[in-house]
Amino acid sequence: MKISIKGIGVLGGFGCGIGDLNNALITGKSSSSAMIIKTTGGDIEVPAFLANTDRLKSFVNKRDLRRIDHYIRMALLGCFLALEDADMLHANRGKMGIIIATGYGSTCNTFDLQHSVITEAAPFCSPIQFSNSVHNAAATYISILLKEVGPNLSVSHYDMSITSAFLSAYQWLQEERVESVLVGSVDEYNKILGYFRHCLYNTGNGKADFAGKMNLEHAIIGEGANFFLLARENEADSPYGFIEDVRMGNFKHRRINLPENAAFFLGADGYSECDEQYAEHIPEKAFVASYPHLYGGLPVGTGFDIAIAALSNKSGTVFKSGDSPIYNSGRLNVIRHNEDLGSRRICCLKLGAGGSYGCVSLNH
Amino acid sequence: MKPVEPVAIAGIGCICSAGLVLNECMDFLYKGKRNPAPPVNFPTKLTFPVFEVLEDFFQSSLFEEKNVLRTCKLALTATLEAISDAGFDREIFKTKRVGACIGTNVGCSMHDESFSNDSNTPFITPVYRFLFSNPTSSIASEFGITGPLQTVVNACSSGNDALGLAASWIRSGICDVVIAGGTDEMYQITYTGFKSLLINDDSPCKPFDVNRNGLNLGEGAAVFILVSEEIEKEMKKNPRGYILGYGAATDAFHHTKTRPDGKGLKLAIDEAMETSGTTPLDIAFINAHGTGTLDNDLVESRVLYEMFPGVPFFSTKGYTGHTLGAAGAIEAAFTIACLEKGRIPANVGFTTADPEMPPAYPVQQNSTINGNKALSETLAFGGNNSVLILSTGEHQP
Repeated sequence: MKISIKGIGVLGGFGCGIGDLNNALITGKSSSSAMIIKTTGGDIEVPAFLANTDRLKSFVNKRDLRRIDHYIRMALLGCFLALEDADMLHANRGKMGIIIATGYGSTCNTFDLQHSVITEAAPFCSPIQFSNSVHNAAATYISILLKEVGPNLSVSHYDMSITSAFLSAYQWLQEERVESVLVGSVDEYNKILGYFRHCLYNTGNGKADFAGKMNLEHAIIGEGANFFLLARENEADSPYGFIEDVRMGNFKHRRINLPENAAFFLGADGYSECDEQYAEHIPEKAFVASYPHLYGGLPVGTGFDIAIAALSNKSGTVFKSGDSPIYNSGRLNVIRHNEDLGSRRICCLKLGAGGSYGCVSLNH
Repeated sequence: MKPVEPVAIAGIGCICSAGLVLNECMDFLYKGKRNPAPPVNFPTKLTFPVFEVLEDFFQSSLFEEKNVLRTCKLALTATLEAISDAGFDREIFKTKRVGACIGTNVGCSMHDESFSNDSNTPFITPVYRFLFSNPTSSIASEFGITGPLQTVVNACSSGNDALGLAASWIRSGICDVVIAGGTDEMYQITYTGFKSLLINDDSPCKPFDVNRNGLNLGEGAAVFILVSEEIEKEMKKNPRGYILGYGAATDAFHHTKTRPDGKGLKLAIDEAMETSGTTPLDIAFINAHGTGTLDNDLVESRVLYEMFPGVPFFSTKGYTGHTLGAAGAIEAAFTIACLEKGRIPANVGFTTADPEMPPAYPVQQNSTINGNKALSETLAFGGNNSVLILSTGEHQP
């Protein structure tokens, strides 16, 4: 069964909306911000790709946003953009499922909450802060604002989160449980991740054990959201092509079975010990690209790769890859310039912690 | 939704304050015991009673995965019991397509308190520990699982949803075996958080009672081994039961309050009944969510009265506390055990009917039941409603 992508909503360091992502792919650039983290050893500066959610005001009343933190705002905006892109914002959507993936959850809010509970003389926390810290809070706001009463799933499995969300979306459509699924992912920058990056790349602390060998200027922390409105093939047009297959497994125990005639978008973002192992698993001389230089390093980065693959399907063009030390092996054909997609399918591959892998394949 | 094929439950493991294995838990329930007390496993100045696992339950010599969070230890312990209950050994995980689908709340939160030891310079160790302390990952790593992994974070319905989703992995053929369930530890953030919502009872909870005043939190895990028809045929013993159907729907109403008209719960029940091909007359009993909060119990009793008139129901929260992400799986385990024994436990804490509720009351003493199918339901923050239809092991593939 093929699943069509009816609409896409994205935001991140590259901007807001599928048009901004397309522009970033053409220019090969996103703009990062310098985040200052105060430590007992002095201030440190960490670059990050941050997302701006100002456009949310065009979809949601200001009053409805007053208790909503940045993490949830990113998720909401991603959803509204995807529905707008599919021209389904005000249409009768029938029975729609909602699936949201996150690697970390609402971390800024959670750390504030944790700090207040652990360090205050009397244990205290704000009820709003607490309810917003629950991992399905973003899905809750989305269901309330969209008035959607269908199945609603939140998943959190670090760097496999978005692949597992697509797996469930695929299942729900296959079972005819729903007519469409709004599936996507969100993660936010926080100072602990900033400090983590600082330790990996600036101090050498832990680098030998864990860090990918990405150049400093490439391993930039990202935040943002990516959402997709999916439907069964026979019920919709497919401007962005189809989700052909969703696979998960463990490459330490079983070899990954990957197609020959494909372009591979690799989720090597500089934060995984597996970053150097992609070349071992991909067919020799396969065409590869990676785009974390546009959206940054975050657990749900594969969602952006899926969005880029969908854009490639729509335009018939594979966009030029960012540079990456993982290409040095010479086994792979790196896509250095925009080129014709031809008849190739695109496999968005992520190698993750513990040998896990996820692969979402798109065709057109 | 069309009716779906039953999915066999080869084995079950369960750990909570009621017992360290499922049989112990059931004995505890039928004796009408409960032991809520202020928490001892974490520091707090609050004294609301909780249901903790007080024993030193984790047998580290049995596991490779040792340096993991308590939530993972609970899950690993329940998984080992489930594998043993199924009569499997670890070799099956090397030769079959095995997945894992586990529900949790605490297991996925950036909740390690050592993050906060120095808010300005967080240690790197807790970051690493977070990355590798996901309960599904712990199970996958411990047992060498090669198939799909999913960690469900649907608040209190996570365990139920994980079971329903895992069953569809079996039906669609992407897995031969799925390790599925829920797990959560008692933790001071959730403990304090529930206090902030003013839904903690400062005495043992009283589900469905007129004097109910909130919930007590608990901890635990339950894990099911779900198998395909092919594996079921190869098994040397009958499965413990089947997942016949699953339904889920959302209130689209409020973050922490139950929708007064029960629309989401009704939709979830409808889907579960349709997929299982059952009618209310087939249902021997209902294992209700029954937290002891004013809103939940009122809405739930109204929906059950409307949709299942005369069907006996009960809540086990009075024995275990509300185990959050584990609750759905633990209660599904209890449901299968009750079907096997033909007996359901009294709804401890209920003595006086609430005149606001319809004239349908939970069972007040241990009762025999007729039939081999039951419904287990969970309601959750975010308006999630999740329903499983379960049966004992009479189906022959």
